[in-house]
Amino acid sequence: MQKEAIITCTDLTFRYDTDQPAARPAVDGVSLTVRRGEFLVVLGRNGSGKSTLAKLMNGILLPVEGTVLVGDMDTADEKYLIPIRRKVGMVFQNPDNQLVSNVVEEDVAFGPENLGVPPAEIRRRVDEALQTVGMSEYAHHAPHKLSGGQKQRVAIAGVLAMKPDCLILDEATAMLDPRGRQEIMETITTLNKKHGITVVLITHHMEEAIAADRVVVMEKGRVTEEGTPREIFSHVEKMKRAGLGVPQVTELIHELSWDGSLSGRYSFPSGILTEAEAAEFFTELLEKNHG
Amino acid sequence: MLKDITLGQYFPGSSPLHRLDPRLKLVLMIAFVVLIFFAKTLLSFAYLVVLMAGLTALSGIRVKAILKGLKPVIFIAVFTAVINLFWTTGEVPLVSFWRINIYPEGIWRAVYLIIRIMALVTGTSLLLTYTTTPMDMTDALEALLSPLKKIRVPVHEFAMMMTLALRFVPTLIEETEKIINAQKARGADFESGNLLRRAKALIPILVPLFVSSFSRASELATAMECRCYTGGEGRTRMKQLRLTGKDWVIFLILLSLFAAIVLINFIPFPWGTVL
Repeated sequence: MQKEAIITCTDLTFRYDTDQPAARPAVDGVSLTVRRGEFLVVLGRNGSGKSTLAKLMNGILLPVEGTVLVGDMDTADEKYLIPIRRKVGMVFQNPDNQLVSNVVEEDVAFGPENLGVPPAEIRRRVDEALQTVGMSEYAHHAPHKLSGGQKQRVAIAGVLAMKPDCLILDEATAMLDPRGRQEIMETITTLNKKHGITVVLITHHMEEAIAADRVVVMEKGRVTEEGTPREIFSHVEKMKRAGLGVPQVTELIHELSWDGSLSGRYSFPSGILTEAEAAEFFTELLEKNHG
Repeated sequence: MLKDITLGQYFPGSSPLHRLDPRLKLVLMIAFVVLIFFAKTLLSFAYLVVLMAGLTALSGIRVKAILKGLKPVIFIAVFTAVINLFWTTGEVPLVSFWRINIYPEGIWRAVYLIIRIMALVTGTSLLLTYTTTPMDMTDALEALLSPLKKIRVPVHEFAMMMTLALRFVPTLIEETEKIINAQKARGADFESGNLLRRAKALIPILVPLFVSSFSRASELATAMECRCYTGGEGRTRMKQLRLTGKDWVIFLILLSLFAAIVLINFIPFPWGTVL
């Protein structure tokens, strides 16, 4: 049985410039359901409408046509705005532009303070959130002295302190170095698997989509593909046409299978996603052919 | 170069100054600023210097960091001091050449001005920005100004704006440095030429800084909205401000130490008095 829907987008259309109805909308007739506990990745190149979609999901932007339901609350209904934003937390691209305090723990406390949570409870939530993202020892530090990955983890803690059901990361790894990106991926994987928080990760990095339960590909404001990472990345040519490409290992296997001298003798599976899988495949191949 | 600016920055710590209730700190700071202007004699200025040293020791902040914070005001201090040196008249000139007369009063006044400006910056920073987190400062400001809410002054909003401004000082300094380096890499010259030329060279720094500040502000506003910020109403605080006996004791001791500036003026001293 399918899990309950946390966010339901129906025939969603949004344009930034409402004066020009002829222009292509940023989001064009998207229907998408985010289910409780899943790890959903929205892939798309720049200008594909993926960030706009994220902002529609917690009422930062309101749809021109169609509806967004969070649980059974419509984002267009102003009286639900606060409960919606409490349920659906958002982390943005630039960590510097979303931290409000000079002290890490005070920044994490900002959300629950806005919600009117009692002080003792805020204290507890802040400690817990910082622990979850592994930043407890930095509680009294100034954010501008932290690395990008650490800042972004503080931003995630700030959202966690509001006890959300769903965490949307809007290109939250785009400005980080590989190590910072790794930190964030580990953090959100833990949140999803251990704490059962629904994660929607908006990105253009293929590698980040591998761990997802489901991948949605966006192009020119529309959802063009939807499926498991394996299904999505087995269509190498299609992904390339969308300007996205596939993980390096997947591409390697794909190139090999197109090499006439090899593909005649061996069969290459599509949809290999990780180095480990590729290594296993080659070992098996070698053992089979050379004893 | 710009990294040296420590103005408006918070130094984490747990000294008595750090722990003092921010509302009392704010009151102390106002009292201090007023009382500085009562210093008139050499003795009281000497006392002011001692007082600054004492406050620094009490805060546990490194002297080096505090001196760094004074750097940006050195120019203003020296400039006003020089003007006072030449423009103050007294009875017997000490040095006199062409039309310029320098009187002993002028020298004293110049020295006092430097001490006064330095004390003003050090004192306010030590009492407030260096030892108080911006959030605490916001709370204090809001608490002290809250009577104004009755006449519909948006006190919370002002306090919040101040917090955010302070939060972004280091971020914007970093950004300015990046832009300067980017311009330098493309051959921009900030160090040579006359004043006008150098001022003009700053335009390519200010314009991108200005533009990016606006986009930062807009992103920050969105992020704050996402974290359910709706203004001061219905907001709670993680750290409740609570006045304890200890707070009052420290407050009264510091206040009397500040007030002593006025009393020390009455101690007769042979030289250095400027009216």
